Amino acid sequence: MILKAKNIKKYFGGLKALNGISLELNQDEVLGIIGPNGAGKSTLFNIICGVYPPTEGSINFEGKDITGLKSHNIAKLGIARTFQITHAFQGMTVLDNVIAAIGMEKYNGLISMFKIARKSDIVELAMNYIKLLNLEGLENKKTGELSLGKMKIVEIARALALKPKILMLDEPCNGLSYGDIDIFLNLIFMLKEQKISIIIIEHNMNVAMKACDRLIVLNFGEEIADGIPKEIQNNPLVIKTYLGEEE
Amino acid sequence: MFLQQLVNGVVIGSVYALTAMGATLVYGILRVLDIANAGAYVIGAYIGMTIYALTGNLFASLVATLIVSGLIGVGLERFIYLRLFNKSPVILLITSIGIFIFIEDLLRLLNGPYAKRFPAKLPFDGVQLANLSIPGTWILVMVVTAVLLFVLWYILYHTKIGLAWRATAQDIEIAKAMGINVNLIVALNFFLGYGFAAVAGSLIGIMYNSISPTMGDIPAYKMLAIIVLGGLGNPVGTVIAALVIGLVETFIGGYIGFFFPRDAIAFVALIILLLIRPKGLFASKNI
Amino acid sequence: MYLIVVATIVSIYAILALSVNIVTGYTGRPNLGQASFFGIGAYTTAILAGKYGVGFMPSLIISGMIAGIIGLLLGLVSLRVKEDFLAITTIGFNFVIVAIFQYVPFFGASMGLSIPPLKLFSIPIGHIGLLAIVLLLMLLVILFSYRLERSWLGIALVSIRNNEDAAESLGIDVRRFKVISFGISTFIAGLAGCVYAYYMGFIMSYNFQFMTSIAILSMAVVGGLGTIAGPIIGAVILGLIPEVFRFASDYRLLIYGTILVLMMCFKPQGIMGGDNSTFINLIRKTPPKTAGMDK
Repeated sequence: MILKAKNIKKYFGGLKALNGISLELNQDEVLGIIGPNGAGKSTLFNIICGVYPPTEGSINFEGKDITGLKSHNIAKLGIARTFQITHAFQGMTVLDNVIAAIGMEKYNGLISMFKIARKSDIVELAMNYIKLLNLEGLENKKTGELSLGKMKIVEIARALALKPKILMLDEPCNGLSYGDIDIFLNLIFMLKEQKISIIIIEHNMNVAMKACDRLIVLNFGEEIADGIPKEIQNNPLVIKTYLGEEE
Repeated sequence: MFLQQLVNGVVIGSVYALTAMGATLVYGILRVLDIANAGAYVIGAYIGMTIYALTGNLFASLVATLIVSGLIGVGLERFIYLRLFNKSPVILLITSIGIFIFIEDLLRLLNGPYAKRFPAKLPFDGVQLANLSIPGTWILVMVVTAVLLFVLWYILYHTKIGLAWRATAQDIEIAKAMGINVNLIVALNFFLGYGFAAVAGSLIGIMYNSISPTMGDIPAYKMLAIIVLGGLGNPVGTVIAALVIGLVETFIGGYIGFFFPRDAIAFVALIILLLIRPKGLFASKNI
Repeated sequence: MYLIVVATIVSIYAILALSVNIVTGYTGRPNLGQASFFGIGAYTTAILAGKYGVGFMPSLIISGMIAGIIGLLLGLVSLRVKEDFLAITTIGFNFVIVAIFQYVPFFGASMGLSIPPLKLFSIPIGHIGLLAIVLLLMLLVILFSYRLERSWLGIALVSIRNNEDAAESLGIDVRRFKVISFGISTFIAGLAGCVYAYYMGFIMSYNFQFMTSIAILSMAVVGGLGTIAGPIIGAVILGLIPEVFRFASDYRLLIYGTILVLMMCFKPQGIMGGDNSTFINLIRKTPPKTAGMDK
């Protein structure tokens, strides 16, 4: 078990966004978090990734308590994430986006921060990720000029360049075309082979069922089901929750 | 003595409120810090003085200056700000400063760099109550300010267009989607904002019997401090902040005027405030 | 001779424009008070060299350091306030600093401070020598900016400008780098202040008022934020206006205001800005919610 979140509660003033969620992620597993809008999925992500601390509860990564750490520190520990609305650096080229991630270790050294970034070995490394995600040819294009689907893939490439142990994807298929979704599914299978554990928030049921080993269902800040896709699909409570929400 | 200072402070604060109202209204709708609004302050003083010289009628001058400056404001909005609506704040700020510089220099060219007089004869005299001496100009300022602010308050909170205005200030896109004529609202916003600043400029000109092309320099930036203190885009907060600053300047300025300039007080207050409450004095939960 | 004097002041402006470019250009945070640090540097030199006879080199370094340290403090303050407030905070800071220079007797109050002529190793340096020093300084700043753009620090700053949250998720300590960017920027402004003090021979508080900050920022913006050539070209163009339009000297401000407005309307990314869309089309990341006009 590589990540364990215990009894996470998050209150924003009077609003109970999360009311005691627990989850476990095992090595090499693809865990899906699904649920209607407003269920608290992104909030849970933000807490795990250090955007804000939980009101109550703890998070344990590889045996270490990471509750309340800031996101840049969590990134350095090996958890990478993407965002629901794409946060790719739109004013930078695709190549620079990936290079920015590769530099994670370099930013903090007083000497290393002044070293030239785009050295040939770094560029080569970046190109590896770019090729891995079928973005070859686009590396010098400004990310903001790409299609939404491509931008999201750039964001994933960037996250991968952090060499994370856990990759957290927030609605990666949101707004993607069917073709892009297929590419994405292939990507997930490929990443599993690379020994990266993955958590996906997904609204697209098709993707969630196909890509994930296990699913957790949230609604109104509470966990209503946890199991393998087949079980979840047939869970009456889940079906009721999604009535009218099916895509 | 204290009472005298108090009234003095209220008078100063009233002018600040009128001047700052334009900036806060513009911010409320466009999320833009508009320094050019202080240009209206200077223009207003000159127009007021000119109309008064022509007609001898104080009321006419104030009304005329409000209307003319208001229209200038709408013109600026149409031709310049509209283009820059969604651009970075630095761009807009520099543009508004460019406009302000242009206005002040244009006035200098047209009217000469020296101060001119604005000798308005008031239809009423000052008041003397025991130790309290209230000059007629002070009464004029307080009355005019109260009237204008009341009108604004009434429009904003008791009319349909005011409702539409507030909706637009909340979220311009949603307002558009709801069928609100956003263009009209923005124009009205600029009209009143610039008009008020113009009246404020005239009032100051009358009060000190002096107007000059550079009279807008300090107010331009002080108004920014005041609207931040009052909560950007919050008209009520702005009035309160303006009065507070007016009072603080009058009282403290009187005592430590030799050691620290009055005009910097507003900024010191601002910096201290932002350190304690980064969201401003009256910021609502939204910021 | 006249050309040398003009070239010197334009070069000083170029250094200042390059300095503000680091915070507002690379990191994307509005700084409308750079003249404060320009002034802090100048006054530090005026006090060290003028009152205590400290030599040029130590004055230069110390001026930069003091401006830089105070800049770090402002950077820390900037962390607490949101973007719209940051602009006003820097303006307010400018006013307060100028007020201090104006009123505190130690800083000469309204009489200003004078600086002795520049001497390097006890050899008097004339106008040409000063120009050479300023040009050298400018060259160093250019080289530094060049290096910065290509370094990891530069990438961190540009990442922050593009998307703070994403930058944070890449292991970039956004808060730390914001402060660092202020420190570097103001350090350079302090250096400029030092040479300016020697150039002028006499400084007063109004040399560093808010309008000067605007002049500096607009040079960087008109020339092109986020580039190196931009601030330099901006400094040349806007800095030469007073000279070039000598014949129309009465209309200088009018022209200046017009240039600002026209540039922002038609080419806000600046002359050298290319199609750099990051600044200009900043549909604000989260629309800043105001205090609201509803009660």
